Amino acid sequence: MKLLLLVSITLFAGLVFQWLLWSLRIPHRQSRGIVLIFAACTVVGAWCGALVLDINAVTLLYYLTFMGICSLGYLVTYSAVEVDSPSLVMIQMLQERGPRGIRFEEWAEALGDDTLVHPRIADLIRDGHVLRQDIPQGTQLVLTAKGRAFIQIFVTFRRYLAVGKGG
Amino acid sequence: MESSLSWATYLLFGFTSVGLVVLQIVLFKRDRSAHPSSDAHFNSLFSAWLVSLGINALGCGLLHSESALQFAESFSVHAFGLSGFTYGYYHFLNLRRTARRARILTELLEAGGMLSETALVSRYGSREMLRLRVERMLETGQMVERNGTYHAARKGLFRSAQLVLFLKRVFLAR
Repeated sequence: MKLLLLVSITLFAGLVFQWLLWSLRIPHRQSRGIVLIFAACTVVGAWCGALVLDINAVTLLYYLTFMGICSLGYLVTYSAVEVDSPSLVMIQMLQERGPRGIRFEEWAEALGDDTLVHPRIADLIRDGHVLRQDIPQGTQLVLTAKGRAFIQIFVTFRRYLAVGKGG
Repeated sequence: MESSLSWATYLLFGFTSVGLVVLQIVLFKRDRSAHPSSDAHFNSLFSAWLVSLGINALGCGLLHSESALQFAESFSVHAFGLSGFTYGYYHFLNLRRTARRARILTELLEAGGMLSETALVSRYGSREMLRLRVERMLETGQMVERNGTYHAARKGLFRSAQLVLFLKRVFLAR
């Protein structure tokens, strides 16, 4: 039970640190910030576990595995919080309309390309997945090696599941 | 009490986690062809999680057949780990389904790695994004269409949105 206690304390500490740091200033790259916070908490937790709680090597391996699982789980959940998800805005609008419902055009008017597409392109450029390049035919978006490697994970998985492109 | 966790239990956990992913893919393919309108992602993952828990209970029982306390400890640790893994994996599956950035990168990849912004928007613009989301919410029964207007079919739809909004308020003060 030492293991579950240690994992719970580390996760709680990570959330508190994130809340404190975000209260001071929200970082430009929030996902990276979360990874750094949870990695630092995990290292401190492992050190405390080995020295204070006297846990053995297998339990330490369990601890590192569980911290990896929980941190990634939190990271993917947080990605819905970080940006204004279209589904969330759609649901909010649906709730506001109440029993009279909503037409597709009302969503389309509120959520155009400037809200849904261009900010995501800007994110991809900021993260180095895409480059904006000027050529004689006009400005082009170019996939970088980093972007290609990232998308291959999704392409491979999609192939296994035999499903569409999503989005 | 001596710790019930050993290299053998760790291997059991590792193999069942990989097995969970393999089983989910097999069940998803089968379920989707049999019931195309159901939420195959959730159903297949829930079944795979239950099977993995069962295998872990059996494995922990065999490894700690002489001590009920050690069995309870190792199984509860595995149940916690597998549930966390399943939760993260479920979100990864949804991310593959709904991530706009992944779809934009896919369009670029399919176009040979280069595309103008206008061409990209014509392939995957805001109307297409909204159409896909409406389609998914209708398919999974979260929403219904009546005379050209859309209505919520489940109150749970609003509750999950409230949770995300709560997290936004806590962390981002929005």
